[in-house]
Amino acid sequence: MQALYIRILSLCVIPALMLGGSPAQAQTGWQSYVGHELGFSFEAPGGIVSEIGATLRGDIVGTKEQIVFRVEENNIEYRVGVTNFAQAQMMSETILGEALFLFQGEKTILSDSFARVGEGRDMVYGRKSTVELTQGGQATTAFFFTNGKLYQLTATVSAESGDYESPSLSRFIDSISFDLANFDLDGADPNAVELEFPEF
Amino acid sequence: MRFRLDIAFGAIIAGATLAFSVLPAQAAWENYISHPLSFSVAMPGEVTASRGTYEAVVAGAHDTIVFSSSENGIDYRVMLVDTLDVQDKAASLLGEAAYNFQEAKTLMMDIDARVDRHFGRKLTVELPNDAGRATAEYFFLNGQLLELRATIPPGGDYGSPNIARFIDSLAFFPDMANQNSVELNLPE
Repeated sequence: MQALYIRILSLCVIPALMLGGSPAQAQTGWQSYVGHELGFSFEAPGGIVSEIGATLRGDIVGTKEQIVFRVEENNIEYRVGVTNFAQAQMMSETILGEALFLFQGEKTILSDSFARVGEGRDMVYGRKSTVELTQGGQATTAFFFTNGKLYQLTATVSAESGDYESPSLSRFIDSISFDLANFDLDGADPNAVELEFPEF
Repeated sequence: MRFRLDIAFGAIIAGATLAFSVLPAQAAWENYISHPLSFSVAMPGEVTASRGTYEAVVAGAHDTIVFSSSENGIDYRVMLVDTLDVQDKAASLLGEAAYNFQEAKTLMMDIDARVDRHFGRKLTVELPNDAGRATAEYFFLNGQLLELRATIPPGGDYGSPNIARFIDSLAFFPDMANQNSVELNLPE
């Protein structure tokens, strides 16, 4: 009799635990991504795709194509753009400034602050900003310029999601690194996924 | 009747004289230009030029040229840092300078600034220990980190229009400079 009680109890408890243990929304596994050729790494949900064609257009920067990596999870789009400015490194402050200006545009700026990555002489200074989107929702972005490239990480939270306080936003934005020592080709981080370039 | 008008006129003159004598002395503002350093700016009073050193973690140590003047207790300073050898880090050099300016201070304003196709940053901070307030603007130009800084002493005129007059006078294109600008003499 006691064994029967235990069996019934376990039949009730285990599904309940399974139900309680699963998140409210589907969570794909987060992944470390590294682009040795692009000189950076970041964390984002799994299943990232790459493409060419998203374009940066500015009075000063001109028209430049970006390599874009993006993935969506729980109505939040995680997007990384890398633009090559190898010939214009000596005006990188203006490139970064105009990129930030274009991002903010006429939107309501919720925050605009310093961003720093790395240590010592290798520290890279950038900007981090959150805006309200005209179509609803919010976008948080960080811009960095180093080694001739402009890097932009943007997490866009849709109005449907409304999860503007999601810790995944800062997990994504703050994960960028330009120090690839932990991602050497010998496999110091075997779980890191090498970013694949889009087809031209 | 004529006598009354004379008294009124005299009183107005005396009042105006008194009012002007109470106002702080205004040094003459002058437009300055440096063709070798590629900028122009408006500053009050006598401008002195000196050389110095700028040091920061990312930038390293570099020579500077500083132009400074003062009016009504407000110090005006233009500093140019020769960072030609690390100009490929321009964005980080500007970010580091702006960051260091506001570090450990109360940040009151931090906005983008634009002059003649160059983007920079403009910041205002409250100095620690009630030491007053400072507004600074940072740009990067031709391998030089450029800082304009106005420092107002405690109890000074924080709303002085001369702060904006100084900061917003910066120009990089010679055509944008006042045609009567005085050439800045470089320090020995």
